[in-house]
Amino acid sequence: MEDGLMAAVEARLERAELPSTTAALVRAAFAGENAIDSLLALGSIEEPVASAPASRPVGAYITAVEIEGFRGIGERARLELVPGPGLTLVIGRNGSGKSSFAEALEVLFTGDNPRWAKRSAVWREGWRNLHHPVTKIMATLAVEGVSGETIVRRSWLKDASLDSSRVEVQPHGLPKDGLSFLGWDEALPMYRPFLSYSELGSMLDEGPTRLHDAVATVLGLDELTAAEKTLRDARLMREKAVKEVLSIRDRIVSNLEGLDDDRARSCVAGLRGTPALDDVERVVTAGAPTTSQGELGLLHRLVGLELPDGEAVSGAATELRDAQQAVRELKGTEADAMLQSADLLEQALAYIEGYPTTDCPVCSTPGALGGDWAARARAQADEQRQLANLAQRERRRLATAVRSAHDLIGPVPQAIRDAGSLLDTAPVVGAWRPWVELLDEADPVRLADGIGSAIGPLLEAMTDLRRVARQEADRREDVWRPIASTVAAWVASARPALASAARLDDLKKAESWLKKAAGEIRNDRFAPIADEAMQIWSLLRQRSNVQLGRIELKGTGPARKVTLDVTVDGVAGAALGVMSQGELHALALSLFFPRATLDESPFRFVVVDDPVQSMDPSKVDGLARVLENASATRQVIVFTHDDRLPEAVRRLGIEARILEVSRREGSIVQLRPALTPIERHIADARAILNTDDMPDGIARQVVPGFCRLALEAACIESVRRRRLSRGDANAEVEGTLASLTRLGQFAAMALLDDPAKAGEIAGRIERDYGAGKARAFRAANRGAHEGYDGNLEDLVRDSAVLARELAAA
Amino acid sequence: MTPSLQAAELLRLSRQVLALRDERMTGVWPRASALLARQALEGAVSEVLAVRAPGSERVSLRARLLCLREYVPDLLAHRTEFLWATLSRVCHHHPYELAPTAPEIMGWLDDAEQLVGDLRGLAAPRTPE
Repeated sequence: MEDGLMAAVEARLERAELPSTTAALVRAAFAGENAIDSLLALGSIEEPVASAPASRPVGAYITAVEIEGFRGIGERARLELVPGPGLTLVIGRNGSGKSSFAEALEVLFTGDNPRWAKRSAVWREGWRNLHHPVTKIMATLAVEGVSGETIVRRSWLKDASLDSSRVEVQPHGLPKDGLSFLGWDEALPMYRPFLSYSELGSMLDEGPTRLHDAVATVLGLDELTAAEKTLRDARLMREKAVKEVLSIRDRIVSNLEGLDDDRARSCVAGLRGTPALDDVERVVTAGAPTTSQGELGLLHRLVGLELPDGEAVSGAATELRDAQQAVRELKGTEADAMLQSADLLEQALAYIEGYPTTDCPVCSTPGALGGDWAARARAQADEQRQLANLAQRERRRLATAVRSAHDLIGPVPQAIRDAGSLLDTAPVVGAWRPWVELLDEADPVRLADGIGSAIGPLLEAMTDLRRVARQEADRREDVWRPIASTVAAWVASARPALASAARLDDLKKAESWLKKAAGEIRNDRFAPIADEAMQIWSLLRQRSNVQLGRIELKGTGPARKVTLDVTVDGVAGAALGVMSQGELHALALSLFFPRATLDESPFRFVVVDDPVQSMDPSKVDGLARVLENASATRQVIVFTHDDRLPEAVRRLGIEARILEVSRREGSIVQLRPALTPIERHIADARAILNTDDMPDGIARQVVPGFCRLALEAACIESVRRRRLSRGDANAEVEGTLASLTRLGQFAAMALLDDPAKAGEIAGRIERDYGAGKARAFRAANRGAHEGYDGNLEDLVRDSAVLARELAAA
Repeated sequence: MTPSLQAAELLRLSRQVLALRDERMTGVWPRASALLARQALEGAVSEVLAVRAPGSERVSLRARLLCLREYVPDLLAHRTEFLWATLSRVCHHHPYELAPTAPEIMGWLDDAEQLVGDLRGLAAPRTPE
């Protein structure tokens, strides 16, 4: 975590007076997803483990680059640079190998880079120079705080691919190390000090989102973006979890609704709306119901119904019949009469005992009681008394048998009456009806017959009922059990999801607060870069009708972008589309330099490849100024394919070192300091004179041509300085110069401001500069075609003096 | 006037310059080669016109090139003019232009060699018909 960033966030948190949970969530977001989880789950954050402090990147200037067998460079070529702030221009025509230097530097420090992957197949195949068997890139660095030179070397084995190189860093007097010695890994994408022509074009082409990322990286706000994402993800994850839990809930509810089960119905009630998880859980975790409540209870009651005792019934029927038979056998036995008769006989016996007589005291028949009457009367009384007792007992037995039989017949059990809506009870109720009706049957025989014939169907119907009830109860359990376990599992997963859903509001608050704060911090950080970009643009735009206003970073996530407030001809809100390629490049440069030259960047150098292409001449002057400004604090190395930038640099008096690249046959790339064009041509002429093994005749043929080149360059310099300083438009001046083809025209333009007066020019030179120089002028002009027989040393000397005088004219 | 050196000799010198490995010649060779190649081309043009249009050597080179198409086949005249103009751009100082690269010069030299050969073939005195 970058200290400054967290401080900025903290300062805003303090001012914002947020609820403590929200603030805690914002802090947790910087510590990562786990911190948010544990904060929401436990109410506290585990202290994030502080990451090991990255080694501080070293600041470095480049003192030399040496390349072998890479791209356009075959034999080893060396670019010597001056370590320290300043401007170096390396000029060379397209194909001279200059871009190879720029690319080699980037490959050296970044290795295989995703950027290369975007290059064309031709580039990726052709990175190795075919004229040379070995590929090596080496740079010598002046590293701050390390005395002596530090050498960075990257090499490829024969046939190795671009991404399989070996790199080593050799600091002076220290053991060899890897790239990590420089500690540039993080800084490279952030401050990338390389800008190529193709990137200039693509920086804005790839759209405002890509541009946003390129700029945001440099702002060092990756953690901020990550924290925003962490909060957003935390919210989305919880929202998703809740959504899932509820959609499963809906499926479960519709399953439960199809169930004919009280437990299902009470689950549905508990699941609707805000789920009452505890209630639902209680229902689904209970085993088989223990109460007799509800349908399942009823089914269990049915299963538990006692059947009438079949044996008792048949016993009762037999008893009824036996008792009835016994009673029937005693038919005619008048028990009361017999008892009274016995009483009468016993009273008569008692009477004759007290008053002995043989005469009947009742009817006074004499002798009626004599003889054995007393014995017979005694026996008769006893027999009558016995018979009467028997008849009474049998009658009682029959009554008891009837009662017992009636006792066996109960009313229809309540459970059966309740079960009408649950099961088909018609058969059993039908079996009960004749059975119950027997309660009204008093006749023992009919009763016995009745119970005997009713009990069979009743037992059968009852047994069926119990079986059906058991089956139904089992079926319900079978359906219920899996659903109950589904619901139980759902409850277990729903509990945390719904619990954290309750924190969604907190998360949303934290998220929207951080989003707003991040936007502010981002633009605070970006402001100085935006300001500098606008300053650079104002230097570059020169006469452009495009005005650049505020540059802002807007939005996050997929909607993030850089907005450029572009005004064309005073019309605001114009799209980038109306800008010319040159203007777009200038805009890209405006955004590149501020970020590459931030104080925090360890790269003390900036490498720009071909920024001039498609720029109009006035922008080149602006660019020269921009480079001059940057070179006050940075080692600015610019590769360019033509002389426009060097010319502007020379004309504007900007201090710069200018080198020229040329590429010979076999990819031999050579570098030499670039002089001003005049000095260059004069030096070339002298080089031909002074080269020892120059074949005969060459000097005579060629030296006049170089003298003429020097004189033409002098005339161009003179024209340009005079006309630009009097305020002529740059494009107009260049147009005039481009129309000239012959030395006479150049000179007439320089001295007389009129190319048509070419014929007068030799005389004019003779008059104003002397006969010797006029001779040199003519010799140079004619000798360029025919060679020169005179003294070449004199020609070169006189031409050089004349050229300098013309340039100053 | 007659060219001081034969066109073929100038072309040979041009190739020699291109092959020079002297440190002092770093960056000098492109223009030196081009100057020699152009001179060879101009020499060949003058040679053919001296035979076909006696007196033409008194007019300017530009004029000589313009009347070349009257005396040699069109295609040859066009190609000669074009190469001459190309080499002239290098032999004059043009704003911002840098010295040509080796492959460019090699190409021009090959063209020049062919054109010089064709032109000199036409420079042989015409046999009366």
